[in-house]
Amino acid sequence: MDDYQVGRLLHTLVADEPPPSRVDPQRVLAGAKRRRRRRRVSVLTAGAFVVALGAVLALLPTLRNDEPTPVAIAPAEFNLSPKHVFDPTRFALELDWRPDGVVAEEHESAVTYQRITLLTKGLSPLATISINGTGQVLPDERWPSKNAASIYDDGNPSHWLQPDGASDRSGQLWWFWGPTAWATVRIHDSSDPVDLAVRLAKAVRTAANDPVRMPFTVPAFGGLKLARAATMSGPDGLYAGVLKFNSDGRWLGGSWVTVSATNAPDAVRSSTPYVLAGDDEYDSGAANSVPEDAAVARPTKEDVVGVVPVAVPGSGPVIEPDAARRAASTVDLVDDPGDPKNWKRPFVG
Amino acid sequence: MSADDEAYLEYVDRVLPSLRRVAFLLCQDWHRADDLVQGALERVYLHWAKAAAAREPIAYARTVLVRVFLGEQRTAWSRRVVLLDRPPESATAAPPDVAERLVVRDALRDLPARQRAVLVLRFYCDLSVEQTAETLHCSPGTVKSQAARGLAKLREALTENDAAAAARS
Repeated sequence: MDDYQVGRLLHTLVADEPPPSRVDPQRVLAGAKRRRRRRRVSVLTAGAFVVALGAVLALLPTLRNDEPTPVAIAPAEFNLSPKHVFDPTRFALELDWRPDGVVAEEHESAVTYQRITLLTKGLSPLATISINGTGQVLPDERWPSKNAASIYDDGNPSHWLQPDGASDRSGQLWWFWGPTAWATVRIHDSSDPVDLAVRLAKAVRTAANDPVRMPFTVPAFGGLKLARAATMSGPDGLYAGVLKFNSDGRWLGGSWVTVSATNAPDAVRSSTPYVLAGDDEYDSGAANSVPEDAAVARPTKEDVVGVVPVAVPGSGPVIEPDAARRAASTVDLVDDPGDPKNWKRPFVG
Repeated sequence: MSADDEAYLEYVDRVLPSLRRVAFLLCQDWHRADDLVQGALERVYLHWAKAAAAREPIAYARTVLVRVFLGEQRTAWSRRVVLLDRPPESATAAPPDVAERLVVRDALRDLPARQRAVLVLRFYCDLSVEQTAETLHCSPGTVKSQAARGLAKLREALTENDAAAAARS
């Protein structure tokens, strides 16, 4: 093989028209300026640190006393290397502050995002906090937006968006939690939604790597992969666990199957035993359908276990109704599923 | 917007298509290629005076791109993410040219990052041994040995593919 042949082979690999570029020159420019500002801030900070360290060392003998040191809360950090996609069996997102009145939380770990929804009395959603993998989503530009606070105190404003005609008690805050990686806080109902969104955004931490545990175990579906895992735990032992499987374990763009268990009857709807805060069965943007004979629920004394195949119009469900029925009978709830300490891992297989 | 910013945006428009293809050859994934290009172009802006004065502006950006790629390999970023653009498994045999492409792509992906970078710079970008060595911060001897090893592996993969095709027919 000579040089010419190697060159020809390499050229054939990129001979086809490439997919549309996700590189937006304006965003590159903005990112570069942000990077330059951070670099300057780092240099200044390092200089200030050296000066401060010298001052502290000089004063140390006079500062020594027996008072306990207050616990410092680390500021939120711009993540320099956010993930492109996440492992749905692990949870990266955490909050180091929550508003009063939160009685329950939903945690959702998907391939493309990680999400916490804070619920108030009656399991009403108050706020949904999400971090997305790099290059996954962009804010909807049809909505009017205004600049809000700088989340990382680096001078870059976040964006507050309100759908047309929406209540002034709701809206979404968007900001970059890392290069090309968006985070959002959606406020469902608050008297001061912008302030609450900014406080929650500043409380976001992304360095956790907690294993996801579920209140049930389920045998693996042949040929299907886990795309999302979600849990809810609330007062008085209320709980829910939801798993979503599809053929490639990535986005839920096609048909999928939901396996769930809950004892929160108020949250149970006709076709889906437990639906997270949003209209989740429709979140791929397509009008998906639940086959009438395949919305299978297995009520126990206090719990409802469900296996629901959801099909994209024009294509069949990823498992047949009979298989869904068999799967529903094999979902195994843990003892006392209302106590998250009893939840299990691994939960598939 | 400053004159520098305008010149930079013009520069980005000019070099973007070429950089994306080089990035794709380095990582075999268009999503990651775009991330690499974005990271490289941001770094170019930080040293815009040097980039603007370079005799070959595309060469400057390409050098930055390759170093960003190798830097990410070192920090194990590539091991933590899941690539999304793998070709689907096909039940039927692919046409010969497509099969050859897949073989080359797989063989390229299996090479160590530095060897892959040497092949892309030498044989796709048509750089000389000396220019490749300068881009990669290594000696011409290293470029020659890495290129020889990479070529041997590509050759081996293509020979195996030819043998399999002959057996099928």
